[in-house]
Amino acid sequence: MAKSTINASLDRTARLLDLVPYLVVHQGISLKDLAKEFAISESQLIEDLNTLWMCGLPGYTPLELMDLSFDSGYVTIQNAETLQQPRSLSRDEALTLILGLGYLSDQTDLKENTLALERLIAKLSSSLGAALPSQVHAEGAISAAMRGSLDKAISDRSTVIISYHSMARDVVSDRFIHPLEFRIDNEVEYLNAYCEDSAGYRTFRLDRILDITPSHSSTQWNRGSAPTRNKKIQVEIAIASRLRDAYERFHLPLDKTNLEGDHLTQVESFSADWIIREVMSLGGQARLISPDFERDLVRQRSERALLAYGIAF
Amino acid sequence: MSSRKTERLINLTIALLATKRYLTKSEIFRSIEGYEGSPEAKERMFERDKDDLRKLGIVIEVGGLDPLFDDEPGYRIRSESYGLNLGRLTGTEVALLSLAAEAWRGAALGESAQSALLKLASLGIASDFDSLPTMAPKLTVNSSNFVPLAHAITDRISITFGYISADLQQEERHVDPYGLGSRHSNWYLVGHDHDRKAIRTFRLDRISDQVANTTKPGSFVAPEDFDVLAFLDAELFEATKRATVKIRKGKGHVLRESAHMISSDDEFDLCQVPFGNAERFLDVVLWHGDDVVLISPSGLREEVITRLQKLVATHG
Repeated sequence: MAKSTINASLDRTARLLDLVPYLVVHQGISLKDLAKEFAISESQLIEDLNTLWMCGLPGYTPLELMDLSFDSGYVTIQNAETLQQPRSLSRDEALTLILGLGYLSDQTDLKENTLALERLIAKLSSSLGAALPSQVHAEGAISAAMRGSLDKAISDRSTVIISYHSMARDVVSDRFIHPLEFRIDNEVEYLNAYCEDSAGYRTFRLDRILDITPSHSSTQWNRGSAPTRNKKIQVEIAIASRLRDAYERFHLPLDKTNLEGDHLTQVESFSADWIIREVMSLGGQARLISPDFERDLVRQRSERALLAYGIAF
Repeated sequence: MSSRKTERLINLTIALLATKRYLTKSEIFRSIEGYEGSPEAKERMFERDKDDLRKLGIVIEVGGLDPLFDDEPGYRIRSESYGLNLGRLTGTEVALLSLAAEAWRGAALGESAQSALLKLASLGIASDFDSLPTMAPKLTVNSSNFVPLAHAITDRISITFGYISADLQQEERHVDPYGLGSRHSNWYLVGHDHDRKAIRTFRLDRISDQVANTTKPGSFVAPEDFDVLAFLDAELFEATKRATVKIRKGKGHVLRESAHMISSDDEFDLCQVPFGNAERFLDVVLWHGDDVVLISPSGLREEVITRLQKLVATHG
């Protein structure tokens, strides 16, 4: 308890020191907006401002105190020269910016800004005292520009045409879609959208979207229709050995460390195709046990592939 | 209670920032509001306050007041070290910095990104987003080990962690961390493995517990100009070998990205494709069923056939 009080008062001190320079360049900001920017409640903000109002240079007469006014619901500050510069970046803040900038410099759409990005990374690295950019490097699922087009389509409720590679069916096709929202599942990012071509709600893996073109067609989409989902299929799989690869393919938890022999497990998917392909990839180290229909499909496909190698049954 | 403490800390910061020379303790106790009680109580209060400000990253300089009488130290905060100083920034540069912070929204460094954005917005430089293309950068990294690893890399601290091996054993690894990088939606740690005495890569989602520091900062020297992405590409993804495959028309898009077409008939394209790790390449070939037929190397072709036969036998 005592400890958390101390941390709370330090957090608050940090926030007050950051409020001053922010106010200096945002004179007249509403209490509501200011509270939102600093992610605190309005009553907490008023308490903060009341404390700040008591602070200043030694002497603590109106001449030395900071002059804050916020009775009108809008905040102004005067006499705050000593604290008017924003505090230097913390290590984590500098690290955050360096990693973000490194990621931006991989974006082809920012080619013209390469020099500016390098300069900024160098400035921040010297403030951190370490050359991070070559040591930590990030890559996004799709380019920031492609994500920008999808963001825009979501907020404008407009349509786009995406060129999409469906892995399970191994087909690349153009889809006319209404982007709705992004979703993350198992660290993989997806786009939920209404797909005109299949007249239903569909999920697209972001890293399989090859291209995006805005479409200006004004097709009326009947938003009233309920989302239709394909039915999930559930299969039973036996994993023959303690094979990390198999666990990762089927998104099974890796923490089962006391497994011996065959491990039976249930796997769910919207796509039987996907499961069958993953089982085939594992080349006999995993066995699809049921349902019978899907198990037969694994055998039939393997036999067809063997025929392609000139081996008959 | 906590308001008074906050007030005193702010007043101390203002006074130490405003002063042109070092302030002695007695000057501080005399002039700054909030230091009350016995001399010992004031003393303790001041020691705690100094620690607290340092925890906030504020550098308090200690100096002698008079070279002849150096018995009483003085204190001040230099505005150069207190304030954010990135030199002169253009509106475009502020926009780039803001985009860099935006990329972390909702991810591992989201909180630091938010506070950095507030500081950037307090510089009084209007950011010029119009000079940049429309984009929505986003980094997806949610591993709770990301931030501790980034610190260990920056500070050169050796670490230990549990790692799930290829046969699902949990192994304890001891590593000097050199860098972090992401490829194909996975994050990797690259570092020197003490037990294997070689540079190794570790996928972050295979680290099974919290990374723990085992040394003080500065405990190892990383190779100069170590390039984590170049290492990852060379180690995991470099395709130095060549295979000949038949790819059914309209299929095999993953392989076609890097394929070199040799000839073509009505049904199939005969292609040369580069590959690196043989095991991973076999996975890809098998994944495609009868849409991709491996012609050479013949050893791998035999292996595909063996595995297909095993699939048939186990799915009867």
